[in-house]
Amino acid sequence: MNRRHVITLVGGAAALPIAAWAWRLDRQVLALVGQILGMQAERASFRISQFIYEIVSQIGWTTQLPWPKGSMDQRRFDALRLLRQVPAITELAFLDDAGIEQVKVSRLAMDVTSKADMSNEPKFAEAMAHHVYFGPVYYRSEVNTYITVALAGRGREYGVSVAEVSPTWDWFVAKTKVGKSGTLYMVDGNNRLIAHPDFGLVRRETDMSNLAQVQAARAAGDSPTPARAARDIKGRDVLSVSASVPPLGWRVFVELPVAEIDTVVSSAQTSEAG
Amino acid sequence: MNRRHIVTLLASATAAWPLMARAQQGDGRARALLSRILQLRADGAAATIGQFLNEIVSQVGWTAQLPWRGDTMNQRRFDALRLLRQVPAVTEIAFLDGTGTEQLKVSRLAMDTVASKSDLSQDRKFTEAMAHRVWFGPVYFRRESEPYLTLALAGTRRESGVSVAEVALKLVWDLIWQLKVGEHGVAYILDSQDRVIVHSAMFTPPREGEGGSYHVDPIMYQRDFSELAQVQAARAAGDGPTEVRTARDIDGREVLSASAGIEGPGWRVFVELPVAEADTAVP
Repeated sequence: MNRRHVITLVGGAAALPIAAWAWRLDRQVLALVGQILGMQAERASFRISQFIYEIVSQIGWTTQLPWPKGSMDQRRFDALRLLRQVPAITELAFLDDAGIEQVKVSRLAMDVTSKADMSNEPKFAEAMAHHVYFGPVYYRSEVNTYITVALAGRGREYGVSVAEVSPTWDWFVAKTKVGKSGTLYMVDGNNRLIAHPDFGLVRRETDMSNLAQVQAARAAGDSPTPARAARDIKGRDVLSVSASVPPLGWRVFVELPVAEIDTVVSSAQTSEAG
Repeated sequence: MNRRHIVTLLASATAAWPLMARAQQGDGRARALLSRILQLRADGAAATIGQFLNEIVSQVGWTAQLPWRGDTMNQRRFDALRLLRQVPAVTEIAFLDGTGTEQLKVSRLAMDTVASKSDLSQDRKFTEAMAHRVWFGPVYFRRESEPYLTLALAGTRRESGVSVAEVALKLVWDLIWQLKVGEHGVAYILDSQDRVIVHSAMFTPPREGEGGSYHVDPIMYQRDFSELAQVQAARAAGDGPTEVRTARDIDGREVLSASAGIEGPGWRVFVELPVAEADTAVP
């Protein structure tokens, strides 16, 4: 949206009919830009949701034998096959129906059978109560993001399979272009930053609760929020949209600096063929 | 443009589509943005379908890990049952051994196992999977309107044989049903021979008072779209990106056309909107 338009918009009474026309047009351009940002947010949230649903579905292969009947060898074999089939899973542990860890197979360490009692840990108790449990995002070393996904079987006697998952979204969060310097980022259910092109902000577990757009999105529940004016974490004026990431209660935001609305319009124009 | 303007503008911009339909002739900005939106829709649909098929390949992959030996039959049967339980879209799974002989078949519709011992060594699902690891067969219909696809996957070693899954494509059909834009826009998928797999014109909304989502009439199925300029341009672009363009659709209407390729089966999604609808003047 260029200066001349803005001047026309706020122009004198003599130019009123023209101003009204330009006003409508700019409103339309803005609505279209908002819709484009919304599609980017929904695309990213859909992708992350699908990733998680697929992980859950793959872990489901390992929760189909009851304790104690199922042989240890079959379980160890299933764990190895799961690691082979799903590169994002780095470790799988089997908890029996009493919450005791019976088998653990890991890409990173020697297999250990700790016999530890996990019955009071959320990964056992929550999975037993709600079928599936997603832990908070955590970090190993300086750069590796993980989450814990725990899945119960059809009945208590099937126990719980607990996977440590290294998600794949960091690269596309960093790669997604929003105008020239806009961003795509994600917060967890506590409004803690869990994905952002500036990984330092993520690693410091930046709390985003103070941003008006984050509060508004939280109030929207599972619905997407339409484009709104807001200030981003760096204090810039931005257009902000968001979409929820079921079933995790996370949210994806896409934000475009207001100063770059023109960039989106002109890049759309140059990529259009006649 | 200051913050207050944006707030005012946004507050009055409710549903974007009616506004979009009023893209003003003579101002290229709205048309360009509208084209971008069509492209994003095509990209999104192609990625979603690609992801759906990829996940099925990955799940079927469990069953292609083991070599064929007499003592693995029970493990195979357990794997087949787990696959059907884990992946609702898979309705049947058959295992061919390294020589192309069918050793086991488990179906959701008839929950029993058959070892037909048929020789499928010359069948494309065996030869193509052995040659390229994954083979996506042609789409076919059951009960006249339920679309399916045969997917064959070879293991890493020849003695692992080939797993052959029958996959329900309801999810893909639902997606195309939802993808059409505007009032007279269309969405469709072409196979690698530029023949129609699914077209939004195949769907009829349910009659009032009737349950269900839609009726499917496969009459458009297999129609050849290879003469359309936008299809030829997309084909020429291969895996690369294509530009949104003005073209004639199969009925001769002038449309804005966007498309995106689907990894794996070599299909392509098209999303088209009549120019007349895009250019309806601002009242």
